[in-house]
Amino acid sequence: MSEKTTVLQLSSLFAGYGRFDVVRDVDLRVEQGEAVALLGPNGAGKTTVLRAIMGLVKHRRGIIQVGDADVSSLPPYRIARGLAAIAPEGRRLFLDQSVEDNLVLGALHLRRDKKRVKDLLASVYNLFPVLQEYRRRRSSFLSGGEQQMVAIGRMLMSDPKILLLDEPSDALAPVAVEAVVKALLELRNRGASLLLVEQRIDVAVRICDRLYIMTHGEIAEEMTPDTVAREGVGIINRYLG
Amino acid sequence: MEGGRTKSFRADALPAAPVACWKRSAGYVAVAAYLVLTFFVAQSSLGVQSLVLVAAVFGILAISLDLVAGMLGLYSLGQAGFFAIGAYLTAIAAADYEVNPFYLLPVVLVVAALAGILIGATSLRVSGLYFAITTFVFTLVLTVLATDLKITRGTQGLLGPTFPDFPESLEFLGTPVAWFVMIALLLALLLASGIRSSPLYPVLLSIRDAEPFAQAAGVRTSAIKIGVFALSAAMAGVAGWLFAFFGVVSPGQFDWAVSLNILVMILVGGINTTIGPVIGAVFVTMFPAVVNINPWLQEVLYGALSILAITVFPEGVVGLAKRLTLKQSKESPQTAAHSKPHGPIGGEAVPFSKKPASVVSTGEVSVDAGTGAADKEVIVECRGIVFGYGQGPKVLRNVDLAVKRGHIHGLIGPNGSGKSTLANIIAGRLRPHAGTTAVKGIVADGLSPSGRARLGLRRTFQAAQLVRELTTSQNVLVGLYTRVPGLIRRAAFWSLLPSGRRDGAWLQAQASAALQAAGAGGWIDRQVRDVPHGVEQLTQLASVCVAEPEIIILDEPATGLSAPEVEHLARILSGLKARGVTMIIIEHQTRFLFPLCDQITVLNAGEVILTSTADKVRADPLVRQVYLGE
Repeated sequence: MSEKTTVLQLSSLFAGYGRFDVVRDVDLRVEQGEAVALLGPNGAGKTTVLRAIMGLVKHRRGIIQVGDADVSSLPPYRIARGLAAIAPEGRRLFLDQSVEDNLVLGALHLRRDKKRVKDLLASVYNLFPVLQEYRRRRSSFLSGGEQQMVAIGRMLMSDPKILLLDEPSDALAPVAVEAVVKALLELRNRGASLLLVEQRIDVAVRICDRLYIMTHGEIAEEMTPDTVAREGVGIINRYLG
Repeated sequence: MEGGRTKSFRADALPAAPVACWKRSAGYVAVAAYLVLTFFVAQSSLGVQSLVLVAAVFGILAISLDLVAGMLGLYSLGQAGFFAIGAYLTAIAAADYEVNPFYLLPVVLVVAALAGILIGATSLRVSGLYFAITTFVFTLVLTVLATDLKITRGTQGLLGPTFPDFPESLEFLGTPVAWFVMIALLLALLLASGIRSSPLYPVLLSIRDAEPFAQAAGVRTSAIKIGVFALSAAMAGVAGWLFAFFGVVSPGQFDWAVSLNILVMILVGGINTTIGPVIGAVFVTMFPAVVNINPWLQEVLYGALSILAITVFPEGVVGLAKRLTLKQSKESPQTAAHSKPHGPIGGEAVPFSKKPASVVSTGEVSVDAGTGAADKEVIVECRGIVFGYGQGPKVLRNVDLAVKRGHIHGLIGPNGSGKSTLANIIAGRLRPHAGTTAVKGIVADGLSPSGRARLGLRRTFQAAQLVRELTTSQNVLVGLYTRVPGLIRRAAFWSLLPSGRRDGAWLQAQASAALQAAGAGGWIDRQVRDVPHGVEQLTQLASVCVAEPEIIILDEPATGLSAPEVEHLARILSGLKARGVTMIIIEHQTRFLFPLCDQITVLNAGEVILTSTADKVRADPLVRQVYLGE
């Protein structure tokens, strides 16, 4: 409990599109080395929270703090420079580019520091040896699970304080889901801080230290995987449907 | 035939909402005010008249361009060409052959429309860019012909006919040509707003933004594009016919710069709005007359203003006005958010079998399907399918698939194993290199996606193909397209026709019920751009189910849905199965898929490795190795 530092802190965050506030009065924190999941029904505002942290949705009120920096008023490209990184829904790779090109793009702001990029690349390949094997291959020829690894690797290339993952298990074959879960567990073991949006409770429970449940744009409850193990999945499901 | 169908509407037609009634009376008032304005224009001096009437003719031209550019995304640079056809036909016939110009109106309409069909048919199948270039060249060629031909009198041009006077009893109305021009503009406006308020509008936008979705809903997109372009060309022709009465007709009035000016008009005024093109036409035509300065400076100023308007207000004057009014009502976003059904999808499940009025049944869904001997009938069959993208490796190698009527047939396999490609081949989006596909016993190899949709085969897309600026229920209306007879014919006068109002209410009710049943009842009036991923999936599902198809292909329908939502989806699909609907489902969530399926086909690297029941698939060692990984 003592030496924990907070890498992400949202304080009464409001954000939305058009006339609607999709996210209302959200307080949320992620400690260094912690994996946190954001669960909730469709339209609860989970993705919007991630997009607001990246600056992709303009927040309307509240404070978003990454590490020591207040990123609330920063443009996305500044946030992406080593503060936060996102693996969006559907992965969004540059499918015509090679695996390595996709990865290096994550470190665009470090491009003058060739040594650093090389080290980061080496650490990503160390985490995902399969990507090193395929480094020259076009991303479109990779399987879904491998593409998700590229998306995660691309985040790591910017050496961010926090990793944001939007439904990493989405639209993947069961084998691939397993591979992605293993990769995220390994990341956690290496001390990365994760904020994960997931539909699959089993995946979230396996990876995360804490779970937030969101409904109607607000945080409805906070719990630990232990609670879920004790009380059963029903305790979350009643919020979802 | 149609009488019988429309009768069935009456029983469940909803009472006209007071809003619609209010809107209609506001429309009548606007038309009356317009006619009063026309009266004053017809009485005014020649200078004012020529200013207003030229603006009105260009207003018609701008509306004609907005029909194709705004609603279909086809940027025609040929409007000046059709304009020239109308003007020259009229001027030549009147000058050389002394034909009564009124007899020429139908001729102009037909000739311009035919030219539109010809150009549309040759260029629209390719792409938007070819279309812009072809239409541009068309205008260029016509200007050259007008300059070089003897019959057009070269650069000098020729004098158009004079407009016949009103009979004495009507002389108090003023200048007859003013009335004709203004009424033509009014008709053009009514036509555009009629289409915009009809159920054809979402269909047109779906062709513009999500053509695969439109085709999968049974819309013959090429034919509609060509048809609307022909209508647009005919309107531009009429504008030319009117323009001929203004005096000299010469090539400089119809060159490519005029086409570009018409484009500037709709961009400045507001693209895809009813009144915007007219506002733009007034700005562009009146600017040189009102700002009376050094012509060189004037051109520069005009250019700068146009660029400024387009970059600062990309949605044009009308879009800007809308944004300003929206801002005012946005004062309290929180309250708006709270009052709306906002959060989780849910809502009362209305079974799809509740069939208020079967207008046009897409196919005879046999009731006895699912029981007895009919159970054995193969409804979708693929044999020896081979397919590859470009020079790359083959995505499908000799794939056989047989789906029985009334079955739910699962399609699983690792990412990239060719599942979606196979779905696209069955739905007609892709043509296999070898092999045949049969749907309901009919060899479907030559059928387009829309042709297959009309056979009763509907599908959803892995990445939802929807019109983002329309609401979810408007998107579902696209799915109903094939079930409304004479939709295109009636579109222009939709809100004026009693049958249109009745059908409109029925369509709305159907769309809402379908969204409710799909579990997206809380999102009915929300634009698709504002809804989460999972709701897009449900909207797709609703737009498919609403057509009451016999066969549905679902490409990863559970993507983005939470566990309870997936359970709800499973209930919907079981309900469809109980009604005898055949389904082919691609899905990775085996816990959801396996209990639903009668048969499952496993694809790996473009080959079928197994087709069997869920239990056998689950137990197969190869499937475990490449896919399940348990």
